[in-house]
Amino acid sequence: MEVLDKLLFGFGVALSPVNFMYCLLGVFIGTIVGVLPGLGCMNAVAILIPMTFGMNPTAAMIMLAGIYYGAQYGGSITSILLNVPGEATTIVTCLDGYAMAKKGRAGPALGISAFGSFIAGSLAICGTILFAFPLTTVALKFGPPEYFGLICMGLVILTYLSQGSMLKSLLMAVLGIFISTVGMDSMTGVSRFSFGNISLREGVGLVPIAMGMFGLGEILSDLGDQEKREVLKTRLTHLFPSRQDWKDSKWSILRGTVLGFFLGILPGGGALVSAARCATVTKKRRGFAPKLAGVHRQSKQRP
Amino acid sequence: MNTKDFYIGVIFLSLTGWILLYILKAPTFQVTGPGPFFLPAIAALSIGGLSIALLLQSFKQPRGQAVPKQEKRMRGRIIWIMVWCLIYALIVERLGYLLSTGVLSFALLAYFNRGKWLLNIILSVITPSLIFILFDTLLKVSLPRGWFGF
Repeated sequence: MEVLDKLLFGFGVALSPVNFMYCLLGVFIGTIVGVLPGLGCMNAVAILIPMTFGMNPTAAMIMLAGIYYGAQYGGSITSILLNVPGEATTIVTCLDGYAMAKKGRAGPALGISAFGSFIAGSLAICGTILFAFPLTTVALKFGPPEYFGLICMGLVILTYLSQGSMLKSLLMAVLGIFISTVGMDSMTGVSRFSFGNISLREGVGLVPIAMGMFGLGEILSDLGDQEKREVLKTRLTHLFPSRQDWKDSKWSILRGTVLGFFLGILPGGGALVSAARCATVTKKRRGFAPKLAGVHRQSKQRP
Repeated sequence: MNTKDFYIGVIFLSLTGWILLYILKAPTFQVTGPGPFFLPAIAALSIGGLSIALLLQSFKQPRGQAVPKQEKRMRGRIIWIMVWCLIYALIVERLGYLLSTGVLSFALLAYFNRGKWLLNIILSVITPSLIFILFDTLLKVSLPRGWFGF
């Protein structure tokens, strides 16, 4: 009961008009910075920290949280409109968000992304506060063997769900493992495949790879495409999802909330693992649809 | 024979050979556990095994259809971009962001926007400069400086 009181008190503080305005301002600025590819949430927060100097500590924390969430959503904007993931966590958003944008439904895609994030984020915060203690003890029992099992399961699921040649999917999965070994070995400090390059010694980042694969891939595929691109010419309308949109995406949002919550408490797993798992589970549930089902089905229904 | 899969198999088999050679040449370390090159070796052997399987599969598959002329042109464009991206990766640390991005922009614009030299030069100068001002000057994200300091 005490936890619930504190939770309600926290909401009371956060929802006071002044703090709410700071939150709104943080989200607005964070979204602008988050749209810039490759900057990322943490960099956005680090860059904008000076803005909070001289502010009330509570308001400053709320504004920084707003910047973080805004920057995260900014990554979704570029994923949906340009097929360029601004963040590693928005790689999955590209798959269906961009497909919807190409069909002239960029507005609902952006809306669903925002509302889905808000619902999942709010529920996860409440869940974390209510169940933090028992969940922490479970999370700490997760050691290297469990992580190894989790990663193996992820690779197997991805290969299983991928379309086309199983052999090539496995080849790409193993190539990914090899690329992840580039850089300094965390156990011995030995530099592997870096050729004296300082950047390579730090390893190959996921964001540059994702941006290269999705962004550059999109540019290259456009070179051979004779059709005119309409995505950016399309007016962004119907940002608020319709009743049908909610009906189509409600289970995906709930599934994402539950999966994200439980995978998010594991140290080191991060949002990317949760997003990828949720995408694969959704895909699996819809019977191997070529794109993530919830949003893909909508894009088919409303050309 | 499926030539596409055949070439993919050959490329990845060569990659396997290169990784294993690198690992064999790397100095050994007295460490507990399997050592820093254990996982890369496992990955390399897996890539090798899968490449051989792909090669064998490519022999059994029927030959793919002839490449249309338009696709050939597209491949030329892709190769042009890839080559310049590679050159960019090699020169960006030495020449700095501003100069190397200007060179890359001009090379790509000169290919895709032929004949409009003045416009290409203006875009190659203005675009990297604006990005440099936004990221390096305003947002304090350090971009490669290179020999000339910009």
